Amino acid sequence: MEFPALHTSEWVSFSPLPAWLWWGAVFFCMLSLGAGYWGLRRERSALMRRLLLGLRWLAAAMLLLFLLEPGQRSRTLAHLPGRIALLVDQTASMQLPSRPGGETRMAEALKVVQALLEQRSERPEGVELFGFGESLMPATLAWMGEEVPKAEHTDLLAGLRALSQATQGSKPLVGVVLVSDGADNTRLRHGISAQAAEFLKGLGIPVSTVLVGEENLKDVAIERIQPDGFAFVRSKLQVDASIRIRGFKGKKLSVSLKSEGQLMASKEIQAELEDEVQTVAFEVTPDRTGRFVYTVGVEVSPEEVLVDNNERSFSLKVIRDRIRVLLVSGRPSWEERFLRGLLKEDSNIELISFYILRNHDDPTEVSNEGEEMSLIPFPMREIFDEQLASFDVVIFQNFGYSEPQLMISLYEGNLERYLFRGGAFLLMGGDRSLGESKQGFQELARALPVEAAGRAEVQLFSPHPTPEGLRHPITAFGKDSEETKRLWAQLPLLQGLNRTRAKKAATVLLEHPTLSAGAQRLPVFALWEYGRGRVAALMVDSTWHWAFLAHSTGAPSHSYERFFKNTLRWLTRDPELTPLLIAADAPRFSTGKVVGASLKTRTVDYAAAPHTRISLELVSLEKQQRLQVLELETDEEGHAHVEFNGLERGAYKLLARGIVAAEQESQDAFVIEPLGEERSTARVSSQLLKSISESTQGRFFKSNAVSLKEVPLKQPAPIEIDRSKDEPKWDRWYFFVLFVVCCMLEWALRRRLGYV
Amino acid sequence: MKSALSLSRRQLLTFLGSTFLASRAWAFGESSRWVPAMAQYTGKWDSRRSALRRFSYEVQRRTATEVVLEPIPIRLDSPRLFELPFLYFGGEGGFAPLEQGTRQNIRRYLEVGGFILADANGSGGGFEDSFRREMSQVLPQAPMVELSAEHVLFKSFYMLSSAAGRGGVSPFLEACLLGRRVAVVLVPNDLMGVFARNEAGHFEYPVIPGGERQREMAIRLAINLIIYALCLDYKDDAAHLPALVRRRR
Repeated sequence: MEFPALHTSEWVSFSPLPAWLWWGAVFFCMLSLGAGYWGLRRERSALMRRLLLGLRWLAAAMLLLFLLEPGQRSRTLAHLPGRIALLVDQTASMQLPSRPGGETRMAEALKVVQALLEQRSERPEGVELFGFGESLMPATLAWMGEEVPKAEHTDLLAGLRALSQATQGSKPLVGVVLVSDGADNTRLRHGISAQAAEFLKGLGIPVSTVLVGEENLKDVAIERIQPDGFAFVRSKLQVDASIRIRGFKGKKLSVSLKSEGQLMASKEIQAELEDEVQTVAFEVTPDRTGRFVYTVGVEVSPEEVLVDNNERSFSLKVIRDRIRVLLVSGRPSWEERFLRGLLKEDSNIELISFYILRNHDDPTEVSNEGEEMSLIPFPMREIFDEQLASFDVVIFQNFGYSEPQLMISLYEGNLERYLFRGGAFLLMGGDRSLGESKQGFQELARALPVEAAGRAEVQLFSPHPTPEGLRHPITAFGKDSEETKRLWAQLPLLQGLNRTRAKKAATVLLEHPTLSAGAQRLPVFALWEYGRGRVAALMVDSTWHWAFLAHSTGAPSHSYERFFKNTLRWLTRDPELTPLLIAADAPRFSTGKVVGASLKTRTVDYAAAPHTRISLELVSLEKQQRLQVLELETDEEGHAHVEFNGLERGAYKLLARGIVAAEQESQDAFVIEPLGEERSTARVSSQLLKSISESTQGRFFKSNAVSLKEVPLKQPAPIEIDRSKDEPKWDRWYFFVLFVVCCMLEWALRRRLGYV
Repeated sequence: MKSALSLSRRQLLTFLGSTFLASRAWAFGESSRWVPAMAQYTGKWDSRRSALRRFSYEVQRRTATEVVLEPIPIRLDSPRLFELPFLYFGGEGGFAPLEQGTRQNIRRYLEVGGFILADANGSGGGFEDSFRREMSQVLPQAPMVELSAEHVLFKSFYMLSSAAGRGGVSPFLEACLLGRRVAVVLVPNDLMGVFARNEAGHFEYPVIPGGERQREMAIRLAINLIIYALCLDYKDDAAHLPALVRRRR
């Protein structure tokens, strides 16, 4: 193809002298002229003065001409044609129908591309085809027809940026034709911001846009549900469903909330605008812990272009409400202070505490009755009779049996029954506890995993984890036994140990490194299950060393927090610490993805339970139907993993049960996401595409009216197509003669007039 | 007669302190007991050493807290500071700026749960300014503020309405708060001065201007400070509030 040539000519300097030297010459000439003018200031003849100055001016001009070496450069240029990029949106929304019952948006886009490619002979520029979804890809029409659009986010700016960078260094990009539905759900979700407009302008290339898909489609979509995470058992939780309603102005729609197939609530909403988002709030009060699936649905109208997005499920992990802890302390101490600090810091713990602050034999005359003191009577009956069942955990820290002010003996039976029926108790040692108190517990002693075995030890020591302690979730701090041993050995030493003996059914997790009672090492921390309850005994009152002294070197230490939080989790039967645990790999999976789930089995003392046979059921919650029953056996580590393929969208439950120990049961739930955001909304935005075109001086087309001829293009920078020709203009003999004549004539005249 | 009685009481207290209390202290080790640690630094830091011993005795006598009677001097840059979560930082007159490493040690000490009771002994004479200067470097995020009379510290054991001491410099306490926890308290009124006794067992310094009633109020404030250090905001718990509000009225 011939391109019209463009001839240009320009004056240039051929001087090799550096600029400073040339400017020095100019300065010298000016100085010379000034000196000449100064020397002629007394000349009477104005004619002679002008003549002499004129000659000097002329000589100076010639001198500068020789130094500047001016000349003419002639060049032949031409504007070569650049390239036009056709950029086609390949995100998942292009799978949606372009109109009710019509072809997909991608099919419409392919027709647009085909039409543009057929018109390419009408323009000198080359035309290249690109698709963009997850990334930018050079494409052919055939490949594009086979490839299913599946990118989960539409980011038009990213596509344009990648295109502008991909074509750098080759033929210049002079125009872009963007074929899309305009359903950007990232940076241009709410239109073009000032920053985005700046970016588009900075591209320097006209971006023409072609809209595929029909606007003003009728659709109802559940766009978002909040919260989608966790909730507290027996606590009300508000669930907000954001519902996008398009094209149903004035219509009433019914919205329902279901849990595992059971209708829980329904509400009616009325669309007030052609395109709006309404938020519907439901209240949920889960009554059990575990993971549960809820589904919000909106009734389907026949005119809707998309019906899959009328329903959306979400999973809630229901956890225990704030743990109610009763802390009773026998005296103010550092052990009590750091434990209180830890428990008060945790927003998931509601702490009710009572401390004995004053000795009953206080010899001062200050009277509490006179209200000079802040002490209140211990509400024994309320705490240990009326409200005892409301506590998740009771902690006695250095609190003995026969505190004269507290007749705990009256309520010991209550405490014992509370534990037997499922309560939790932590007994912490000290000089008023266990063997150190004046009298031992009677009924409560039956519930304790240890019994007193003499007077306390006061030496410093480092507690050692027992084999059970190395794998128990409370004390197994490390990834393996060696790391756990090392972490325990690094902790500051403890001082003071109540001498006790572990009962037969008790599990000792920490023991004294050297001292024994009979054949056993002295237990430092022991626990057991008492009836349906759980009881732990910690025979020291110096664990605050782990919270405070451990920081003396400046290295952070969290062992104190871990130990007590793990203990509380075990005492309150955290589901994560059960012998059988089934957990889906994620609470939510995309349609078509493999669903994985892991099984973990442990013995009662938390050792891995190898070769345990487990029955696993997969249940569809929407159909209320058992889909699969599998029999699994765990490996040497007590683990098993299972995968499910080809599950349809919806909510599912996994139910694992021990085949031998049938009382062991665990369940989890998950959701196969019906649609991602990309496919859950039928939105088509011509406004966004128009704005892109306007920002870049491109043009907006409808899909049936696109013309390559009318696509605005950038004029490419001209390039040189022939060798340039230089012609010096300063090297003429007459300039030199003129310079010499001027100098000589001035000299001769000055001599005659007596200036020389 | 009076002198004989004082001596007799003193002997009795010494007996209790050195025999009965000490033997109880060894019953389970000392780690959970309240220990009167004294900050040792370049300056006049130990003028209230014997008063601190007497104060420990009052804590033991009036509350259920188990104490160690003998004050333990501790250098501010020592890692052993972390064995003693309570630190008495007394002094007379200004003192030289602390080393950067010392300040870092104090900062870590306070952030992980330590408590400092600063007390201007004698007539103050620049101690407060020096201490404020150091705290502004140690805890720049927690400037010293005046504690209102409603703060839990004024009701942690005794019901009090102001900060008494040996002198009447200020009715307020200044404090640095880390979160809601008071980590540092500055008493400008020579609090430990009210406990100091001479060889004969008499109080060493007069209490001005309120006399013996002011001394008792100062002793109660000191007890409240210790109970706060050991129990934090226990008296702000919901179980206590109705009764305490009624008593305030």
